Amino acid sequence: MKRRIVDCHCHLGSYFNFYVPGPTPEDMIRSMDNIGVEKSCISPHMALTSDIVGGNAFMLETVKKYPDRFVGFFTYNPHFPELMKKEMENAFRVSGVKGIKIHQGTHGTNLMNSAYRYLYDFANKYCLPVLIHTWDIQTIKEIEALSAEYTDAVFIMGHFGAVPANMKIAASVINSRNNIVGDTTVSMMFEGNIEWLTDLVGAEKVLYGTDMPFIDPRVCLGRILASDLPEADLDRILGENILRILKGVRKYEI
Amino acid sequence: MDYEFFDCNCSIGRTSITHPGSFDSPEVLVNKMDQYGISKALVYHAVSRDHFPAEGNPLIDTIVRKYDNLQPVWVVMPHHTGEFPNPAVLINEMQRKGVKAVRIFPSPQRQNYSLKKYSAGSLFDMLEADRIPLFVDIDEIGWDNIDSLLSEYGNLPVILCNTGYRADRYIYPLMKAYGNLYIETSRYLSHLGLEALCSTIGSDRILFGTSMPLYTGSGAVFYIRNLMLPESDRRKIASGNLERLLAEVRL
Repeated sequence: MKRRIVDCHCHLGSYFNFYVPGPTPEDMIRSMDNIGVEKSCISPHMALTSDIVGGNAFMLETVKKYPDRFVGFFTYNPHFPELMKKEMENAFRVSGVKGIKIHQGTHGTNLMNSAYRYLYDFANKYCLPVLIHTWDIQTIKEIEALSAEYTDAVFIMGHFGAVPANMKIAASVINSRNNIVGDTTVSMMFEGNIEWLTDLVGAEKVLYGTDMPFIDPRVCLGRILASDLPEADLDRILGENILRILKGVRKYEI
Repeated sequence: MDYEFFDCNCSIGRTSITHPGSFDSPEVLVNKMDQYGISKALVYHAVSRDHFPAEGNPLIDTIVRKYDNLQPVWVVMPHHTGEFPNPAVLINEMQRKGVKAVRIFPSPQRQNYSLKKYSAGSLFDMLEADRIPLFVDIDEIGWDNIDSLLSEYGNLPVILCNTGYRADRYIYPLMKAYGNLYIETSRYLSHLGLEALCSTIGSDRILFGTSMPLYTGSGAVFYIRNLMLPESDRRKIASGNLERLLAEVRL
């Protein structure tokens, strides 16, 4: 059976801090076709750094236009709680929207912000994946606490803690829960890092993610394909794990 | 069709900080190269970078004698204090040892010296005269210093390494302005960035690199193999451009 590759951690669009040569959905599809990626989960840069409504609208437009290639992750900005409730309920009426993205760093807060509670309740009710920018120990500890409270939501530690010392702590937290996984979205990885992460938490809890179009996806895929892991583990990491999580999402009831 | 990979950005030797998967022996490096399909590498010694070039450079000479596919890179620095050979002696030594490329670590956190004429002028004059490729990490030199270096030594090939994926707003104008600037690929990771750079600048000044052993070389090779560029461009990036630069060295 053909291996399915699904990228759990992508963005979309231009970015304020540097030139993105391939920012459009079509550029991303070109990249995905080039390396055999079936689908990518997207949350546009604009929603992370600037206009939350405009950014989520770009996500919705893209998911509607290319339903077979993109899965929408709604970006939640806790500075606009009432607006987020309305926007989120509208967004999840679109069948291709299946997850939530939190970037507490660019939104200048932390995961314990009470304005996130609506989101956590929503994610818990519909068994949604919540992709969280996980770069530091504080975030890892906050995910540990939240995942115990919201046991039906699936917490994805984006970047897996970013550096080996944090990755080790992230791994111990992932191992303590059934509803936390980590992704491979790191621009530069040390030799054997994929094998090490897989050894720490098991292949069913490592997800392929790349940050495209923030970063080119080829380098991350190359690292995984060249790893010493068995084929069955590669299948899980590259696609089966995120597909299982997305399959578990409950249908949104209006 | 497959083609040769020649890694321009490699080091070897023990470092003070290790990570899971870290390695420091040349045997492992050569095995990794073989595993990833890399035929040759330019290699400097970690001791030259982290401790002292005059003590690290002889170590790399010893290592490369044992491996046909490793070629030495010396870390160089100005000679004024007397702790490092003057440029004339240095060039003779390089010629004697078959060293055709050098690297610098001038930042205050590393070897801590000025790139101005009063400090590094005679060194760069000598390198430029013999067209010896000079490798430097962007974090070691900074964008304004690289501009000065390229303009003052127009025939010195300068290879900027470990640029990161946020650098195009500097790299494009510099590469347009200076024909002696080259870019190494290991951390040049903007999405479709190499395709875009080639369409504007061409493929002649892009060199394949891995940053091994700090980072894994597997993704670096996969990246180049899967570039959406003509075969001829991929060959140049993988090894052709570096081979050409080394052939132009007048030592």
